[in-house]
Parts: sequence; C-alpha cells; structure tokens
Amino acid sequence: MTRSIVPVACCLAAACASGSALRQRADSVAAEVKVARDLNAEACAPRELATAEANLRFARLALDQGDSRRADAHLGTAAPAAHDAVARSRDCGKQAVAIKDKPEPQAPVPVAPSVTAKDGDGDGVPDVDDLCPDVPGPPERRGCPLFTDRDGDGVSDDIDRCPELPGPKENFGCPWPDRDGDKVADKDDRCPDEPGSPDNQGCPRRERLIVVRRDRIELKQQIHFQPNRAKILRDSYDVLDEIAQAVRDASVTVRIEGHTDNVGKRKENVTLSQARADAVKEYLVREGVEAKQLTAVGYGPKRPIASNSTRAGRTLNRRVEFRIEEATN
Amino acid sequence: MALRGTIVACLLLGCGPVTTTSVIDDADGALLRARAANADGYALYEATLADLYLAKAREEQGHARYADAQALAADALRFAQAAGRKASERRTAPAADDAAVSKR
Repeated sequence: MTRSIVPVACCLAAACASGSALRQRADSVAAEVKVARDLNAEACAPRELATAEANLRFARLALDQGDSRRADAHLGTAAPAAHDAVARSRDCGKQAVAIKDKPEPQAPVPVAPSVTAKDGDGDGVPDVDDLCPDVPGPPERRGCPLFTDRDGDGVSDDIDRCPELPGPKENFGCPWPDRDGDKVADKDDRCPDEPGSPDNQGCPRRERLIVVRRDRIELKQQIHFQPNRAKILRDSYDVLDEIAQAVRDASVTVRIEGHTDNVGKRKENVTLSQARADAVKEYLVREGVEAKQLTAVGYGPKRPIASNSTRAGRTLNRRVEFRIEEATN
Repeated sequence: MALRGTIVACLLLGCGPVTTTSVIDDADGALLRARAANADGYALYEATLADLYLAKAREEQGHARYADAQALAADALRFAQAAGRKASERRTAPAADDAAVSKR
C-alpha cells in the first residue's frame, strides 16, 4: 500500500511544483506586459503586445485546466513577445521625446488658418504635427506609415521575415523554398530535389516505362522477383509506380496475371505465379489503387508466349501481365 | 422522471457545440469585416487579439472544452468588433477633417 502511495505522492508534488513555477513565470510575463502597456505599446508595438497578452491568458487558462505542457508553450510565446513589445515601445518613446524636445518658436508667427491646417499627404495629421508630411500615416504614429515594406510584397517589414525578398503572406513574407531551383516551390514540387518543369509538377520528364493500350498495359521492363519467391525487387518499383498512377487515373479494372516457365512442378509454379500476382496487387494497393480495381490470377506455365525449350524463351515466359477488363465508372 | 432529467441533460450538453460554433462563426465574420475595413493597418492590436483568440477558441472547441471555447470566441468577437469600429473611424477621420476644413 505504502509502496503505491509514495510514487503517486511524488508525481502530485512534482506536478504542483511545476504548476507553481509556471504561475510564477506567468506573473513575471504579466509584469513585463504591464511595463509594455505603460510605455504605450498598444500604439508602438500592437502586434507584440497583443501576442503577449493573449498568450498570457491562454497560459493561465491551460494552468487552470491542469495542462502544464500547453501553459509552458503559451508562456514560451508570451515572454519574448512581451520583451519585444517593451523594446519597441522604448524606441518609440524616444522618438516621442525627440518631438517634445523640438524647440518652440520664440515668437508666435502669424499664419493664416488654411496654412496651419495644411495637410500635404492628406492623412488627417496637419503638417506641423506630421513627422512624415509627405507619406500618409495614422495619427498614433504621428502621421508616419505604420510600417515600411521594402520588398513591396504586401507584407509589412515588422512581420516580414524576409524584408528584402518578396514572398507571400502565408510564408511570413519569405519566398517559398525551392531546393532544386526549378521555379516550382517545394510545397508544390513532387520532385523537390530534381529540377523539372512546372507542367509536370516540378518533376523531370522521364521516358515512360509503360504503354496503356485499350485492353492491356504494356511493360517496357518486366517486373523482377527474387528467384522462386514472390518478393518484388527494388528495380521494379518505378514501373509499378507508373502502373499504379495509370490505373488510378484511368479508373479501370485490371487483371494482374502471373505466369511462369515450365521448369519444376506445375502445381508449385501455379502457386508461385499466384503469389507473385498477389504481391503486385498488394504493392499497387499500397500505392493508392483501390483493391476493387484489381484482381490477381496465377496461371503458372499454362499460357507461354515463347518456347520453353530455350533459356530466352523461358525468360520471356516468366512474366506478369496487366489486362484491362473494364472502366470502373 | 429520471428519463426526463437525462433527456434535459443530453439536450443541454448537446447545445455546447452548437452555441460555441455559432459564436465562433460570429467572431470569424466580424474579423473578416474588420479586415475588410483595413483593421490590420488601423487597429492592429485589436485585430491581432481577435485573431489569436479565435484560433484558441477553435482549438478549445477541438478538445471539446466548449465553455472555454465559447468564452474565448466571445472575446474574439468583442475584439474583432472593436477592431472594425476603430478601423472605420480612423479611415473616415481624415475625410471628416477635410469636410470641416472646407466648411470653414
């Protein structure tokens, strides 16, 4: 009894300690958020402040739910955001001080009302108060644009992880990676490490290993198995992949036929050819072909296409064929 | 009696996902409207909060914690509405000023 209580008590104590440490961390982040707020972060670093505040609340919610892992993750986001908010707001504050320190004109200069209200960039901030009188910007930024966008990709530099390279908003302003440099982004590239044309999904054009006829799929390269076994050899994967794609695309029903030469016992040959046809079917199903589109039949030596009296003939007779039976739709 | 109680309890439990989804949808719509009013430019603080709260509400909903999800979605809605309001005000403010100047 005591033995079982001790580990449970240890776990509970550890959990409490972890929860308490996280709460302390949350309090320290909250203090930093308060500092940021006092420094007018809402205007100077709105995104950072919002991120810090939101994640702080989410962390506390997770702690209330007893989910320390999630709380830790949220605090991990909140803390640097709060820190950034404080840093940005300090810079922003300095700018504000500089404005306040502007020497006031010694003697009031009489100006016409239309001149005092002059607003060259039409942003609602009169030129006298506008730090950027030629570029529109909101009043809380003293008439300056919120953020610049050096690469002109529509993602402002404050959130642009690649401010000098145009990139989509979804990738934080960075261009999508393209390892093979074929102008097809890796996310859309079926062959991200081999250059290929965009109309072939970024893959190089290869000579096809199969030809789809009306009633069969012709193979330019036979499917190879381990001798006397139904294990497909690796060098046949490419041709099988092409077959899989063709069957998937054409939505047809295909009969996979296994054939052998006449060496050995007939019954064993039939069994082997069936096992090989089954192995091919299994491979194609793994490659996304629906099982109902495929049937596998082992004929053994029953249907030779060449003489079994020569080595070349026997090689031709050991084969797998693909007969198109009907369209599935 | 017990049966009736069970039915009522089931109905109440069943309302959780529905109400939450409704509030999330409202917040989503409000945020879209705010974004259309350029809230990202004029009310970035509120828009970011709304965005984060909405995402969190969806996450909580995914974990079937409907009460928390609903509270977060309600806050997201509040922030999104505030963002929309602020953005609209700020967009129209220069025009209003211009009008005032021209009246003078």
